[in-house]
Amino acid sequence: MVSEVYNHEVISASAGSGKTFQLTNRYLNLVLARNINPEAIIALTFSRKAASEIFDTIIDRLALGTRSSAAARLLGCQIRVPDLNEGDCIRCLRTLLSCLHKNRIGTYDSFFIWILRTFAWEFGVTGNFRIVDPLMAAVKVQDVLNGLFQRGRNLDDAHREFVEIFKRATFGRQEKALSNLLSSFVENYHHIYLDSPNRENWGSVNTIWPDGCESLVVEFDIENEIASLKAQILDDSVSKKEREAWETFLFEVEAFSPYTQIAPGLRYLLEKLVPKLDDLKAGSAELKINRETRVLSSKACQHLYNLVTHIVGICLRTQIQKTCGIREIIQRFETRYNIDARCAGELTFSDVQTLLDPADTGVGNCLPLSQKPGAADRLYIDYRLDSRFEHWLLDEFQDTSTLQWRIIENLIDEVVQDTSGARTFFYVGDLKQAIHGWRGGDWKLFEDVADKYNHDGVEQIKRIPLAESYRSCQPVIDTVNMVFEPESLATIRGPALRRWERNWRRHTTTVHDKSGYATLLRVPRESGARSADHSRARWQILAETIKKLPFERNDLSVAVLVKTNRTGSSLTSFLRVNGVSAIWEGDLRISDNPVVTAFVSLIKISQHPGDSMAEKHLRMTPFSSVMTRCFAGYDQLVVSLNKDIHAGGFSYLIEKWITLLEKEINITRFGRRRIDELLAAARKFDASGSRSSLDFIEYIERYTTTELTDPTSVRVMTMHKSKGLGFDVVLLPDLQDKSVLTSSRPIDLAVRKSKGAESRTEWVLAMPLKTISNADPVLKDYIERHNDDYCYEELCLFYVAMTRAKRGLYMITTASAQRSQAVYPATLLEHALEHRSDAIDAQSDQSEMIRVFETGDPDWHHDLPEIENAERPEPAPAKKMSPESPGRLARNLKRITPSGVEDITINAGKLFSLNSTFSAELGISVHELFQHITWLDDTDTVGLVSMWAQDCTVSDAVKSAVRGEFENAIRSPAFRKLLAKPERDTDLWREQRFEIVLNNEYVSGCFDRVSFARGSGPTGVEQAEIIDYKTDNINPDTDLAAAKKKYRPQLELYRKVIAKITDLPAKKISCKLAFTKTGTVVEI
Amino acid sequence: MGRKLHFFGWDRPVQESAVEFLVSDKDSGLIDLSADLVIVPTQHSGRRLSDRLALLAAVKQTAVLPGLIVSPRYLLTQACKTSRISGKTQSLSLWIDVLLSTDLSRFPILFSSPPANKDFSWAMSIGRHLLSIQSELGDNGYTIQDLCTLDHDMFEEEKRWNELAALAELFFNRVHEAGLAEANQTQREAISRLTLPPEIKRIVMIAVPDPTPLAVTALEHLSTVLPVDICVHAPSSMADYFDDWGRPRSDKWHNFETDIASENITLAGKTVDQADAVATMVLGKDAVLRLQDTAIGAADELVIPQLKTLFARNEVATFSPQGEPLSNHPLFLLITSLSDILSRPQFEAYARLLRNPYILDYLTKSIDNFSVTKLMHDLDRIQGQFMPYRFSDVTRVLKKGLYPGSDLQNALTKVEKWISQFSGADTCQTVRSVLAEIFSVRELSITNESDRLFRDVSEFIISTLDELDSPVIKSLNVPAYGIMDLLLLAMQTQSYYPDRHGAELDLLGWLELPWEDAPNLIITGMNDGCVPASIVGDLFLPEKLRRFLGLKTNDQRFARDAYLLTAICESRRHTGDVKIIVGKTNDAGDILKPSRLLFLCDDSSLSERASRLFRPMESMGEIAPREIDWKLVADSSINVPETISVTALRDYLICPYRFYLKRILHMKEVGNRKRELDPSEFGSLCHYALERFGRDEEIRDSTDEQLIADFLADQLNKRVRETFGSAPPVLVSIQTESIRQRLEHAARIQAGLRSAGWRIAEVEKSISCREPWSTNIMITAKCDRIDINDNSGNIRIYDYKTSDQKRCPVKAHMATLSNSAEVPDFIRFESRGRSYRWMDLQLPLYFLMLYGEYRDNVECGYFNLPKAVGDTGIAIWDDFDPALIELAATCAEGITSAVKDKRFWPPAAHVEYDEYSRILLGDALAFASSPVPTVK
Ligand code: SF4
Repeated sequence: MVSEVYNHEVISASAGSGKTFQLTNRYLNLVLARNINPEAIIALTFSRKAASEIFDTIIDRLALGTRSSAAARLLGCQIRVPDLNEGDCIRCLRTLLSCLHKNRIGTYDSFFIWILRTFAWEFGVTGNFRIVDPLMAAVKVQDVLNGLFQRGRNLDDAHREFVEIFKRATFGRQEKALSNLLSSFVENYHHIYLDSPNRENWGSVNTIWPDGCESLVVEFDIENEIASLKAQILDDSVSKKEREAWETFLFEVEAFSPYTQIAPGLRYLLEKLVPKLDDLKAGSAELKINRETRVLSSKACQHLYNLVTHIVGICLRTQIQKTCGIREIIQRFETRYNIDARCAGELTFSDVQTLLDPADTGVGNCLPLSQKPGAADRLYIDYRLDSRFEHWLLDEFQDTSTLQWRIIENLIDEVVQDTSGARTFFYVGDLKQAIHGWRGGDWKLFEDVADKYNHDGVEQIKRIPLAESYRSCQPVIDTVNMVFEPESLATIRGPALRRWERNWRRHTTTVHDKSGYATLLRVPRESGARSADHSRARWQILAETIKKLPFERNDLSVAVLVKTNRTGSSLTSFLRVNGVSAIWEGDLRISDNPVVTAFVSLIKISQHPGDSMAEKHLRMTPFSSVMTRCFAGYDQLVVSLNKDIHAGGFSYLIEKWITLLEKEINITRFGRRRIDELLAAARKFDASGSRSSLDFIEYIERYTTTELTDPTSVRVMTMHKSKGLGFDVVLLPDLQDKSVLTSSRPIDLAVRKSKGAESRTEWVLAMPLKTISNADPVLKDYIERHNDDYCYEELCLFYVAMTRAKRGLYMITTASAQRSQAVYPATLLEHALEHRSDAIDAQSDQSEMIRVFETGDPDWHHDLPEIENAERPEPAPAKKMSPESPGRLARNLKRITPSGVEDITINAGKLFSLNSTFSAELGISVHELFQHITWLDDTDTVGLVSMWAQDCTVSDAVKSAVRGEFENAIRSPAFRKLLAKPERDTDLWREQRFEIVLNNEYVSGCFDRVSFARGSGPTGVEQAEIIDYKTDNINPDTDLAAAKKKYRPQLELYRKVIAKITDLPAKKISCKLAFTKTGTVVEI
Repeated sequence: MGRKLHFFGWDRPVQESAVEFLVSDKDSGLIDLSADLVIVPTQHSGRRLSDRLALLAAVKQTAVLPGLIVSPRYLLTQACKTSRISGKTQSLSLWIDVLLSTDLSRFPILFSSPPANKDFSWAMSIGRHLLSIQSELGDNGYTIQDLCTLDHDMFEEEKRWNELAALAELFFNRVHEAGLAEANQTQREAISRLTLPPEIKRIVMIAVPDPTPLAVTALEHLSTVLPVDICVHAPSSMADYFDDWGRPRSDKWHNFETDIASENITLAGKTVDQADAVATMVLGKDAVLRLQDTAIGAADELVIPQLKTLFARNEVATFSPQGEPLSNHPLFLLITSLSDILSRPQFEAYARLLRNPYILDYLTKSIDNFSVTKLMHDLDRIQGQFMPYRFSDVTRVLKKGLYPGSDLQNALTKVEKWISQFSGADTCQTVRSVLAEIFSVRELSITNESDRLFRDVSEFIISTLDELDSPVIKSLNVPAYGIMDLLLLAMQTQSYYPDRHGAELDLLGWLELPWEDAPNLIITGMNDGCVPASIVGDLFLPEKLRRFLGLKTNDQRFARDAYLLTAICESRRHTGDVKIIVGKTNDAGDILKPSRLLFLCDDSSLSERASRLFRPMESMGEIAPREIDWKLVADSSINVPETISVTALRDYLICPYRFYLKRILHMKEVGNRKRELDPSEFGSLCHYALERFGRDEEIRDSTDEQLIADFLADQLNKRVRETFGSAPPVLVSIQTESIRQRLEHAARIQAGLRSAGWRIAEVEKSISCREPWSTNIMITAKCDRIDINDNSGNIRIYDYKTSDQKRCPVKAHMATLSNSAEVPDFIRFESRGRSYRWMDLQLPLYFLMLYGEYRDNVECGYFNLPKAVGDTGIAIWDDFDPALIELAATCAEGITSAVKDKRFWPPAAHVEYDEYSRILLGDALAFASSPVPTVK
């Protein structure tokens, strides 16, 4: 069926309906139906893996289309291109492959980096910036913080100011461990600051409470209030217990200040009073204290209202102070970070976005990007990017952040506003899978963006819902429908439910040919047991269920999805102990084993030998024997370690010590893997240039890895991580740990955003305790909305988890406690599924577990084909090995030069001494002059020198020294004799380079001067004389013997070369050293 | 004269044909090529050619006189030989000077958003970029200014280029003022006057696929006076595919089908997987290629380190002809450390320099009885205790004589002497003289490789310094750190070359491969972007402009590499094999794509190859079961201590094994980057002020809150000043302020206590006790404070607590215990019918130890100074059960006898704050073994 393809489309695609597939459909449609050049299409997604998957899918589908006309037609049908044939596919495939380098299917990050690189100067950075990985960035942040804490020469103003700000930020709390506190400020709030640096937005009363805030204005005479209240309330009718409660309360109210914590006695009544605030204000309220209800008089109400307002006022003022303090700290950090990191060209992914942000945040250029040339207040990108994007495809749009959207918004505007029809915009996502709010994803954009363009009744962007699954079989889909129908979700928060309802569509499936099964198993609740015991009980069932799956026999992918990393890793160990081969797919620190920790200690002592923990630790490990075997003492060990690190980096040291260690013990396969990872980490670190062991250790301790995947193991991962994946079997044993109704984490810093696609931060406030914020309508509203969002995201997460299943879905819960108000995913399941299926066996054999619900075929896996005995495609038969050749051994010889064989030592310090250059230049120049002399008698030496002086570029000092030395030398009788024109026929080499193989070594060198006397020798040469000029400073009376010794190896080598060339016996070849400084000539 | 094109054919390695060509007209005997200028693509290929010639000579029992074997760049250098052109570093300095001295607002388009920090390093980056533009244009005979005179239609950023030209104009002026010539401009002018050394009689250019246009101009010019032979490594039937200078024509190669068997192309995951794939091919029992007949290449140079590791593990020595960047040489690190001190003269930088092995070597040889470990330990101690910031802080501390026998002063004086020299006029001279001194203790032997490399690197440093020492740069007044930056930068862009020792396996780069003659070849990293490289988008020179200017374009790169790949494969068609490995991701996790060259094939291979090379590659493999390679083995020959403090007893109660590590082995971590007081120092400072207060007979009787607070603050400040000088680290200042606040509130409480009749009797009282147990281990403690009430005569024993939350004495000492918990008997006790375990013995033991002096009407408790200062106050142990004293004593006895018997096992499963978590990995039972066999 070929339906219409709209210019601008948004697809809300339910789980399993193939978001990637839809996106590739669109892509292929553009290239095959519209003949669009792939260079003109840009497709953006979030992870590199997803980007690669999109491209791989496109290529794969095209390649499939080239195989047969049926395949091509099928493809054509899917992508809505009628009459597609193999030829079209192959042509298209070739086009795509020939412009791989211009293909723009990638991540937002890479797109942004690309833009920043090509417009670096416009954004105030230099073009050669580097993207630093998060681990290095963390090290950098610490470095910047260190810089912040530096002190000046005196306790200067800046210093004092910082102390003050800090006092504000921690108002009322005299903190002890500041360093971590500061790091956490930066870590958690820097991005908030960058999004909204303005002072007016942070803790500003007028913005937060545009209608005023009562608690902040009113003031009371507290002593009076308390006294009057006492009179009102503490009459004889009051029980002793209640009196106590009131008295403690009033005592604490009076003592309450920004410097005290809210004491239990205060909190007890405050928590009861705050929900009744309106009643108190209205003058009639009831309170339940110690199970007795007390009716308050209108006067008492008034006083209590005032007291609560007073407490809230104190807390709010404190929080406002803190908020401003925190902002100032971050501002200081940011200023320094901008200079030390961004300006120095070390950027993180988020720095790149910050710089490109067209909103004015104080960093970057603030100009929106544009594809229209010539606009003054825009950055025209096409020319410099060598590209012209006409078609935009955005993936997983519900995960886009407002910042990301801001950066591309103008580009998309231009596309949608283009009326020619030649440009298109397409985005896809699923609002039911919005689980990335915690890292900035703003799913509200999904609707907001469509709304932005579809106004005034014009539907510019066509909305297309898809709810047909290609992944899950009927029973799974049925279960999903039962659980996620809005009717089933009645217990969740209203706004979240309404939102869900808007995005919900009953799912269908295309998978009809495969059987499947979904079930809910319930473990009874043991009274008095803790939640850990409940999890154990569920895990037990989990393990048993998994063991019944036909793993080895079938090629089955099985995943256990959990909520948190902590649960995941302990569940994995549990499964392993219970005989299930399981892999935890979360991040693991590489320092989770003794081998790496020992290496860390080894590296520690290299520069911090006084660290007795590291030293003694090593002595408790097999390293101990290496240390005693290979090193004379601790000093020597330390020196050697430190040297190795400086000479070859940490990777070099590690490689070296592994070899040493392996002589002591056999390292396990697991240890081996960790070592490999340690090495990989070390190599990355080495590239940073730092050789500081502390930096390295910091890096290693943050460095994480993942386990290898193995097809025969159960994969345990977080629900977050499972997004985008599908498994034959999904097991969910962890649906009970957090209520979906309220966020369990307290809000540290509230960040209120405005609505719409142009959403901006309205205000920021360090939130007071929940009891307090509930007393303020504005803050209460914030918390409500926050909880709505949280609830919605939790629902999404739950949806993601369930929809990963293709064939089998096993959910294991614990019966909920009676009278429990909390709503867990488990509660929702129970609510939705109980009594929905009939075939229930009340008690199963092995435990008291109850099968609450099932649908489909419990023995669904019997129809799985068995894997045939590993028939791996054999690697193509290799060509016969060619007959043994001399190989590399004969080709690659050692290479030496005659001057490299001199047996001399020189003082390294002298190399750097100030006259070293002078002597080097002098040496070269003198050689150069002598090279011009054929025979001294025939040479116009004066002319020679002046010609040379004209041409060469050395300094005048060198020139005159050279002239002196040269003239001096040629005046000496020894030189005159040496260079005199011989009587017989003689050939002469000057400055003659040569290459030869001697003793299986390549020798390449250069003769200063060789003269060959012609005669009757085998090659027509009778005698040869080798002359080597030396510019050493020697004393001819004392140093000659030493000099001869020093240069003998070199000249002997020359002699051998000449012997080889001329076939002369050695005695016919004379070797002479000619010392130019003194005019001395000696024979070797 | 004139130019002649020769086609070698490509059925054998290029150097075989090259040697044959070069010696073809030579008689037997000495192979004399000294009249030839041979141009080859790279240095490495030159070496390859010489080797071949030498081998040929060896067969003939003679030598080669090689003539000049050069890369095309030689022609340019030769052309400028006699001009005083501005060197790289000089030009960069001039650019920096121009950028720093110019008002950027004159270039509103170029720098539309001026840098936040217009400093030296910014100017250096921008300068480098400008230089690279100049040189890229220069290779093609353009200058920046030329571009502004071009046809404007093609030229979309005309205004920006105009600004750039104006900026370049400033630079040119600067160069000329300095009496120098600009390199690119000079080359362009000199190239047509180029002369070669007189002995050269012929020019042979062999298999150079991409000489720069300027080099071609040079050759064109030379061909009027000398014969120029252009040799192409391809059969003459392919003549159409090359231009007159032997360059592949880009239009032709785009659709050329390179004949590579699909099964010879493998997709691998990360670089390590690529190395594994190589291993399968050449090592082990299933190897398909004989290693000694195989060369290994890496189109992506990032694979090389993995290959090195792979072969090192299999004991095959490798060699990379690319050399090592100078920045990997330890000399670079030394200079970096020196330079760090100049730009940030802080203790940390000094410490880093002092940890440099060269410096340590120097100190060892120039200071008697110098100990490297002691020096480094002293650095850590001083850092841990005083957190010095500036050099002067160290001097101040050292003056106190706290580190007797330390060489730190000595060492620092030497370093400081060097650093102070830099404030003098001449940085270059200073660098030289400092290095000369540091290395005066070191002798180099010419035959030793690492010494030779040291010398090579030094020579480069010296030549760079000489360039920097020129009058031109001197006149710019570059600051010392700037000179250092320039030196370091120059080093970064240079390589040094370790020796080839013999038959190492070469790990070759792409451009070195055409000159490799091994029968088999494995090319790793065959990914797009590496081969062929491509530029998509540029700050100044995007493809559209490049094409217009005739600069090298992506199409040309493609053509060149397509040709090279074909030649590489063709020359092995009959004698060997080429295997190609494509990576899926790099180590940073970026997704890679296969080289486009691999799709130069027919339709039928295309789709198969495409779906095979574009597919997900997960790192699949056998999972290694989690095993523990070893458990920590402790030393059992330890000495039992003679005394144990009450605090140590608590450590034992928390975990016996950690007690052993801490109190017996004294394992302590040092050398962290401390920038604030740790909790115990924080507490000590509080204690200190309170102790002074308690000892001052006058003030301690005061009931004036303010007076007390002032006194405490005064003591505090004095102490802080003593330790940290007048400018303590910022965080310490804040902490001090926080302590002051806490003390201020303590003063309020104290005033109240005194008013209520409480008088301080004793403070910081040392107490101890050996009785009543028999282990002979003495228990010691310091009691913070004892008060007597003037009115009632009651006694109170206090311990100051500075933890974050106010603490309750009962909860701190005992915890209820479930029956099942496994706790040694002496740790558990019954009180008032319930089971408890001890958490701390402090207050009951104080009772016990003070029993002689204070017997009746004694109470005990905490004086809390928490962070919520409103909560400051006294927490008395209400209805303290005197029976606890006895019980605590029993427990203490139990602990001391356990220590005596060396019973430190089993460890606690979980402790709240584990200072040994790094080595115990949170699970002592799993990762450590009992220090001594458990004694029952
Ligand atoms: S949820 Fe899945 S797709 Fe999204 S970032 Fe995490 S792993 Fe990637």
